[in-house]
Amino acid sequence: MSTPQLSDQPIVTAMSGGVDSSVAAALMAEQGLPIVGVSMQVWDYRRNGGCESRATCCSPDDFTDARQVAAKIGIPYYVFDLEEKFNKEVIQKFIDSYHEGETPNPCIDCNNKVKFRELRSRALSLGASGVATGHYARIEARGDGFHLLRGKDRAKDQSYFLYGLSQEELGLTYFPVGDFTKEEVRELARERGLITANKPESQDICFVSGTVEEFMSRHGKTRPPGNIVTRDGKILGRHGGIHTYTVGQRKGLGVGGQEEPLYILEIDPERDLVVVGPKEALEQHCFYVSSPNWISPSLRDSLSKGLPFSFRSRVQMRHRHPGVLADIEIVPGALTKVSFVDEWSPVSPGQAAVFYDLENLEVLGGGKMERTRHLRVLSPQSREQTSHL
Amino acid sequence: MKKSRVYLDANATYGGLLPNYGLLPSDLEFLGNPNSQHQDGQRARALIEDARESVRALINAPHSRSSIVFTSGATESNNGALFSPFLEASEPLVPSSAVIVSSTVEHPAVLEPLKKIQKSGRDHTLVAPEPNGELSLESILSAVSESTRVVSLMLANNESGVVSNIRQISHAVKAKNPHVFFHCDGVQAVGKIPVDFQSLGIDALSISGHKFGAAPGVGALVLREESDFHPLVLGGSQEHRLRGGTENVLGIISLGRTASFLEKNFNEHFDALERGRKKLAEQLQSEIPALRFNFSGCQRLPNTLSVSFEGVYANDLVVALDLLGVSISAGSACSSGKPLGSAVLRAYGFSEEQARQTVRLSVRSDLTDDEIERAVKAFQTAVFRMRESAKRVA
Repeated sequence: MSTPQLSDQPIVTAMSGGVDSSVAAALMAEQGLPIVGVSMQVWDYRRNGGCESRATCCSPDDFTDARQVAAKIGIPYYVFDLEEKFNKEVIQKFIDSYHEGETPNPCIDCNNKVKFRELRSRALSLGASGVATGHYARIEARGDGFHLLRGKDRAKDQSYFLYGLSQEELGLTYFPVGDFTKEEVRELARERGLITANKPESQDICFVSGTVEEFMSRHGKTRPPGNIVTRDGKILGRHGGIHTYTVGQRKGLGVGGQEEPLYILEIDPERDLVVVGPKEALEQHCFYVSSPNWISPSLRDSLSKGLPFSFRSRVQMRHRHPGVLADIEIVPGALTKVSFVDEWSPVSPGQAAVFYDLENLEVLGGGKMERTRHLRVLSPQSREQTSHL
Repeated sequence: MKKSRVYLDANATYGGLLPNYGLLPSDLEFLGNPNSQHQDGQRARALIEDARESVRALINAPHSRSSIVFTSGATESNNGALFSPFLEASEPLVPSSAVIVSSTVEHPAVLEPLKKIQKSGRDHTLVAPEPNGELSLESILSAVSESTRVVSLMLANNESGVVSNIRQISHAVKAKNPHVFFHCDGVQAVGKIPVDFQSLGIDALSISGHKFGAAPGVGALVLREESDFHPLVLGGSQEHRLRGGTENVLGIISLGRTASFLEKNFNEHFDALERGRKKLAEQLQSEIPALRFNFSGCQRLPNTLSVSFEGVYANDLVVALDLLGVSISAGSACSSGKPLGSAVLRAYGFSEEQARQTVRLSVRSDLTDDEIERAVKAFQTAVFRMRESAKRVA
């Protein structure tokens, strides 16, 4: 963490009511900085329901905890109402994405498009000089700009979710717990008598109660039933709508009794088809990424020349995915191409692919994985659609 | 040393009007239970009865014509008044007929009991204010029918500050249906404008101590006829069997001493409230572009300003000003939880956008010129910053 400048301008610390952000706020306040604690209400549990497990962030109980922690460390505390933004930027996209047969990652949208962006803009409008959060990640200011690094605790590292941050945002942001392990953070919380010290982790998607299928049908976004087919067009069974399936899924297809286990290879929203096949058929040599964001200052420098270039990186395709080696090809004006070097990993359209350096420590950038329409052979006509997007 | 804060949220709670909320060291030494036989108890009882007399004097509610029941505050008083007529109701229910008439701009301490009563089959009609903010006598009269049992209207609104002519309304309502039990939520009015229980012609008035400078946690329900009232809180025989539970002795003493001070110094107090509000409004008007004062055509509380700042969201302004040392409030959030701005302002016909851009400023009588100046500077800083940052986003 770079050392913040002492000034009268406050630093706004996001407090979810969990142990990480509680400790983040406490550590900032202990440096003598003027800290303002803020919780972001993105979802009205009383009105809309949600996970009953309480294993989420942002519930009213969590705000009570955050308020208590703020009082304990002696900082002002407010709740920002971001429901409208959250609904637009996260929930609607989540619904649309599933509706289109993709598997969205709402936590990434929430982090990038709601929490960071809104936190920053509101912080600035309050005259604040920066924002702090309890993410397990680190920011280093070097001569060429800001670098986003994995947190010290690799098991808890959250840099994957932060690939959408801009250089400007990184310059205003502090991750005070990025230099600690989770156990150390809990210990810091216990030493300070924070009530959140032993609180369980948040995990589930905060706004989905029950199954995704139930959530989608509550929002009137169901898809018509359709066929489950093999790559050569043979109908194996029926499905209740593509919006409830995920590429790579094996269980719950209802097409048992085959010689080998079947996996979902592709979801075709135009024809409402779920295409299945053997595991090997999931294998692909490359995929494409849209809406990329590049953080690494040297990459940004290369990009600014406006010429095609490529580099090797370790690409992480899910939270906690160990990552695989890939060559990244950037052609201005086109989708970014990611080609696996040796190992491959299943592509889930809609999820994020985040590029790390070869030491697997620094986030270079990332983007959204696109559906690769290279699955072949449903009918002679369909071949015309096999070109990449 | 930090400069002290400027408090512009007296309608939320006034803060002590008198030093130590009017309590004297002797009050804190030892007091018995006011319901005990012994002299320790008698001393407490005497203090409570003194307080009752002081409240009577403040609102002209003489012993022969009314009862003062001390409660935990206005929410309890409102609940008591609204539930009372139905607690021992013997008449058959007439489904789907509205037996209560109230307004859309009442406090939740009225609207929530009405919703609960509705569940027992006793419906209500809520009258909306006119575009200028006032409740019209005609629309209230047209809502009152033969089946109306209760009319409940506030004397002054907490957000707009608009004062209703309850005297005129209650007399007209009683002329149309003499059986109506007329309740008035006087929370924001008592202690800020002259309130005369007798001439209001009502059956019940709710009072809150902390809204006019007494300690929080104490209030009163003023009743014209004890015999009409069925208590909500049952227990001992305290307060003429109208409210069980040992009295909040210290709170009641504070209420009485504050009421007594206000009664003796009412004109000065009123003038100081009005002077503070006017001066604050003038300076805001001259220093900050694109703002609008609402409800200025209505009869209003002397200390309350409803102001809309173009392009600035009230909830954000409250936080920004707080960080600059000024306490104000945005309207209470809409009960559905959606960020549509204050439910009360929406009920006054404000657009969603305007409601979200409106804040309430409510002054104490001791607001100084220096505080006004500091507050206006803070408004300038916050409003300018927020408008600039909105431009950047756009």
